[in-house]
Amino acid sequence: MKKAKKARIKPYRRTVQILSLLLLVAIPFLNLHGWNGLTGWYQSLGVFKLWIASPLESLESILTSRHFYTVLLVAMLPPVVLALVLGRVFCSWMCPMGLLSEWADEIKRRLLTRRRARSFESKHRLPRRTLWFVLVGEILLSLMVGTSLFSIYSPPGIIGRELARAIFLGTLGGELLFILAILVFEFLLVRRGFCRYLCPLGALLGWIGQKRSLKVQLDAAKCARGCRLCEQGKMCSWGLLPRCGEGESIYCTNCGDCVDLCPFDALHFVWQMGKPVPAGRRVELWAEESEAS
Amino acid sequence: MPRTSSKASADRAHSSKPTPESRDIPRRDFLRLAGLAALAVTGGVEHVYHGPVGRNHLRPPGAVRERDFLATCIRCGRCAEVCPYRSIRILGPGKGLHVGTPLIDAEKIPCYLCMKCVEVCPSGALKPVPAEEAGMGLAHIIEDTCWAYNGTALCRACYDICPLKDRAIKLERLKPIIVEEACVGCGACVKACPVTPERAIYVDPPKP
Repeated sequence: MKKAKKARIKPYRRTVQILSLLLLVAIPFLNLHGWNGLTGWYQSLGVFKLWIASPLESLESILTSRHFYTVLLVAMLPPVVLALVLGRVFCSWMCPMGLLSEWADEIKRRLLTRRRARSFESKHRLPRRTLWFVLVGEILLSLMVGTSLFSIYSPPGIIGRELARAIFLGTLGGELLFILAILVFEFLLVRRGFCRYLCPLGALLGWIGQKRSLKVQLDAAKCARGCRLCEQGKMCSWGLLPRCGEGESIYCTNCGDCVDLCPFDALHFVWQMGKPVPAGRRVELWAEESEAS
Repeated sequence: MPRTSSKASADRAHSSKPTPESRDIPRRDFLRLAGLAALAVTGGVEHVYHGPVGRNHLRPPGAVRERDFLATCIRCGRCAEVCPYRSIRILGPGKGLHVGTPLIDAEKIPCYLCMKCVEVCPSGALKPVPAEEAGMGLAHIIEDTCWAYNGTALCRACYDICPLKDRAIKLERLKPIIVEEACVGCGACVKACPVTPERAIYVDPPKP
């Protein structure tokens, strides 16, 4: 087996993820001691005068209250712009739920024997477009109920809320059970199942970022088609096939794990402004894929 | 379920593939479960929609009308984080749809109208208003039990604590009087009232 290349992107990504989680501990702690420069969690974050609000909760709040609150519209902009340019990076670089899921995933990977690791990518897979139905259904349900539902069960929101509650009051609420349920579901049934198929925020960010500038691009000339390391190791948390150009798809979160993995340097982050995916190559690769199988 | 279908499924029991008929039982279970769920939902709706706002249980200052609150609040908790008195609490999951929204229990820790929370709300659930327009409710004095009224003592605890002193609570012949136009219902007087076990002053939230 080829010696694995030294990871280049993942250490940075993991650092950003852990810092994002630590921020949720630091903010209530600082607030408790009377410093209010930073407030909130990933539903709404206040960085001095810069306010950031999660786009999905904000959208639902605007829709259910039928009130265009300028402050909220402006607070939605930073995450929207981030997703427009960099894609769904919140999911893989910041979201504390993503970090917990990845840790659970790695624990599972270590626990499984080599033989079973081949079937690591769970047999239970939902159609990818479930994500869009969840997004639309969730917004419709919010309108029916009359409150922003995602603000109730948003996993990053719950983690932030529970950490704040733990630090302020020293107690934990039952909402953490939901986080636990997601982890068990992902561990036992569908790998990264919530993030991949059921998170409406991820769906919204992915939809916003479908014409993003930062993409994982396949250099087809360098790719050794038979290697399939990016697929065999079941590296991609999102169940994508980078060797078929799916790094440019709407579902990719730009985590860069496949870029780190590829021993032939065939996968790169590229910076393209609004350039559509060349359809021909993708079709060709897909055709080859179907022949092979 | 018709008996014929269960008989048919018994006849085909040797077949390893499940026939449509053999799936009848789980389907019936499913229907029964769905019925139970529907019952639980209808029973739960009352609980779910029953708001936590009530006597001495108030939304933070500047809140939109209660019927718009759930639709507007994005439950980011920043109002609770900046509250220097820890008056604002984030509701737990026992409160149905109101989970994650802010509430002030005036009997435990009232609001002192520092108005820090309204400055951080991103969603518009709390409007940036001055303390005089907080609109959290209206205080009422129970004259039967109030010491100043029933002559037990020369108490003026509520008057002394009121952030809008001489505007919201006035003393008239040494008895406190609520000025309805000025009182914003912060609840500081509720906490200060020495009458036990039930305080002689309470705050009712505004009409939803």
